[in-house]
Amino acid sequence: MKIKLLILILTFISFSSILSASSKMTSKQNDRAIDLFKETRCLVCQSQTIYDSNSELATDLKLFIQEEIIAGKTDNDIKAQLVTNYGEWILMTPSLSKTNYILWFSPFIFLLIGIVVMFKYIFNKSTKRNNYE
Amino acid sequence: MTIGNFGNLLMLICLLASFTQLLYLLPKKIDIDYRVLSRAPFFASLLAFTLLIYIFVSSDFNYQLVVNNSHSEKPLIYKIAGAWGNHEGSLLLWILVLTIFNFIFSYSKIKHVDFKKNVMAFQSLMIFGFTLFLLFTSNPFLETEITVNEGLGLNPVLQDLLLAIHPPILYVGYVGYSLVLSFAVGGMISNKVDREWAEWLHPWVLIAWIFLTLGIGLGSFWAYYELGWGGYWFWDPVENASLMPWLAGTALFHCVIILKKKNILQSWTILLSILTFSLSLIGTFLVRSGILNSVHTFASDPARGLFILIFLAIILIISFTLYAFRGPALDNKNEMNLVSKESGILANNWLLLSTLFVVFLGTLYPLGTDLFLQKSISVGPKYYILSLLPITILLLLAMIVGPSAKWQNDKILNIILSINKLFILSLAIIFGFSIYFAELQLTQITLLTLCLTLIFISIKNGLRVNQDYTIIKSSLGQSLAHIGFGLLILSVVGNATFAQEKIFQAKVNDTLILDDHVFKFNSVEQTEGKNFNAITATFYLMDNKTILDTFEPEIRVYSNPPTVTSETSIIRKFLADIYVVMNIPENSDFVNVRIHIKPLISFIWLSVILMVVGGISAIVFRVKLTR
Amino acid sequence: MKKFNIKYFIPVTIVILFLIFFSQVLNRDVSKLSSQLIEKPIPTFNMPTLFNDDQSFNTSDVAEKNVALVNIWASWCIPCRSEHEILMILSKIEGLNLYGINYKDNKDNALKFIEQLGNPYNKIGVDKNGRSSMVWGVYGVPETFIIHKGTVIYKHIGPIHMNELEDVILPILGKIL
Repeated sequence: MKIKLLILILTFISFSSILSASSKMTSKQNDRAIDLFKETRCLVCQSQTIYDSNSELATDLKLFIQEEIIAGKTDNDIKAQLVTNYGEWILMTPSLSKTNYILWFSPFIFLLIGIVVMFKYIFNKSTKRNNYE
Repeated sequence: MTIGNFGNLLMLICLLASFTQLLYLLPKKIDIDYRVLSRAPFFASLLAFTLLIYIFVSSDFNYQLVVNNSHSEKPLIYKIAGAWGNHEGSLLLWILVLTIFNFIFSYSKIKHVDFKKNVMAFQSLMIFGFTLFLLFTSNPFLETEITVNEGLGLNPVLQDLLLAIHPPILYVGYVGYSLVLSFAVGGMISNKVDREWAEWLHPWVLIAWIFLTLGIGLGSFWAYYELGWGGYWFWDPVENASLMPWLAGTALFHCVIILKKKNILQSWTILLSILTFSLSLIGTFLVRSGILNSVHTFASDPARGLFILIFLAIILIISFTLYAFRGPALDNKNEMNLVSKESGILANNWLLLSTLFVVFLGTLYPLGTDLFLQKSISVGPKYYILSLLPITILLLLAMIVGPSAKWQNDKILNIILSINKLFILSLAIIFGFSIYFAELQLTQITLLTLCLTLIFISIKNGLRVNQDYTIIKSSLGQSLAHIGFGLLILSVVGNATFAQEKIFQAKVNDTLILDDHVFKFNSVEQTEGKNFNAITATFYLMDNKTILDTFEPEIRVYSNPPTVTSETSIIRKFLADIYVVMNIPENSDFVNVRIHIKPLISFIWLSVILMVVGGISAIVFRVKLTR
Repeated sequence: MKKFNIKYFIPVTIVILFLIFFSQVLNRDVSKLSSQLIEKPIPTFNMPTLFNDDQSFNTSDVAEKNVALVNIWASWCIPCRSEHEILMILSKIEGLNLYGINYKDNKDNALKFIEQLGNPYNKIGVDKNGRSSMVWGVYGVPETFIIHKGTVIYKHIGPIHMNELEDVILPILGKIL
């Protein structure tokens, strides 16, 4: 009974097909594949990358990426294809597109605002910053 | 009367008592013993919480919460933890902590009656609001509609001792800042935001900070050991939700020190006091309303989300509006000089807030693009790491220079002279490492040198002595905490740079090699645990013919609820952890093993402990204002 | 002397803006990811069909129709069974062309499924390894797309329930048929 239960549930863990594809890649290609895996989100797993996930979708996506690498596509090609199919959401790192300018650049603006305000505070003594403004 | 009815009654008492407390405290003339007022909400919540634990421990399946989150075969300790491992139970815990702080504060020896009343009034307002929320939308004592004989069980991933105590500790931190907010509100209403106010506030900001630091550290520690992903921080929205108040809280206690010593930056301190708990509240809203997808989220319910938002809105608008009107009148004449300890602390503040800004932006940006552009994007770890890199470098610099500067006024040359030797030493060590051991890139060299300098400088500052050669105890806290932080960043960078891993397809008797570690796959067997069955693999780490260590990763199958988990096998060595996880593919005669070598992980945990001990020293040895 | 400084009102203004933002976000259902394909032309694909290995199911089959519905299903997918009734109902609608994609399935099981529950589709494409469905951005079954003149206008994740048929699907179809 216990063995049956184990086997039944273990049939949902699937890994074998990925490694058969990976054996056809060079070491450099394998590194590329792993980097791409770590950049690709597992859409059904909540915050995991496909590298960390064992779900079926993760396995499919890993195979897809491996096949594309073997077929000679560049990293950017592969990422672009994933985005075309699934949306920008599938890439873990947000792109540098116009819609993401705020995301990438506003921290620096925030820092600068702070520096400016601080300097104003430090250098405007007595005359401005007292109780009788 | 059933337990559930009694529980409901108790919370109703808590509701009415907190409302009464609010009313009593508003009129100016009434003279009351505050300790009496704070007792009813506290004892009612405590008793209600005890009852909640009781129904879990006794597996009373008349209650929906117990049915959804427990099982009669669960080990005792996880039955107890199941009480707060869900939305309703954790909310009750939240209320309990609010009342505990209110209760303890009522016993404080502050003689400023008006101030004390205002603090407790605001605290009771919050107790009232949360209790109302509990009774109307999230009652833990709801009975089942149909009779059930057994529960659905608790997710086995949550059945871990560390994770069991993580929420209570985290909540003392998270909710502790509620009292800090009440202090701010009380101070603004009573027009009492001065050195004395800072002195009263000082222990509270530190207590909340200590528990929050420890709570976050525990959560991270658990994620590393239990989840099997090999990481300890994922920039997950709920993790970020706890980090944000921590960042604001860290900036805050630094300000309180300045206010206490120099009587400046009143309105800034008030703003930070409000901000910290606001972030706790926003965090709780994000987690419980279901608007963020995360491995952490409790079951979501838009109605709940709306309630929390309304409550959040009331608290925030009251506090920030009060600040808008009272803020300008709070500040003293500014006498801050560019080169001084005060400006160093202010720089640290802004850098911490910039970090907060990045975390806040990263967490909420996907919601923004979804709402305004109908587009979903992901903000993963790389965003945070790249954005925080320059800020961290500046922060480390500020932490090196700030404590080395004198109060009020100092000269740049003096500061440089006091740190240059240790800086050069650090630089030499890191360069030496880079040349003789492993090549480092410029960013890593910069970060590691600054971290090492910070550690050395902090040790030096901690060893300062009095006239009679006894150690100045009041700087111990700062020293330890800064050493802790320097060590934290150093370990994080070191780990990221030197971690290695590989996935192997292995059969029994295979030899696996990673770096210069040799592993032998010894066996696979079926084993049994208290409420699970498992397949356990045994790997030996070999040195020629000797077995150095044994690793036993498992695949566990639980029956209530039916879940399959992968248990990692970790062996901690001094400089690195070796981390082994296993997966078993379908229809195959081999096993997939993922072996990680993770340097400096233990030092990450050590750094958290150092910061906590630093915080404790800071409270115990804090300088008292002389009258 | 009373002091008043408009700068101190900045925090409360920011807070109010965020509260409004959060209230708007609450009204959206985040778990249903908006489809990448909405308002874009259907992706390019070509796959063999279930009943006839020589016949193909490809982009032009769908693109040249005024209104088409593409449903991704599998015999091992339990919700697909209950959804099938709804698809049979939809197949009776004049002007609506249904197509199916059999996802990662066993041919015999798929044929049996259709035999037992009926065939609402003009054609059924076969995607044995799940690769062809990737262009549709599929990550689970069942999923359904409504296509108007070669452009995807709606993606439904999960099975179509009766109430969803009435409240969402039929109104959309009503506008384009």
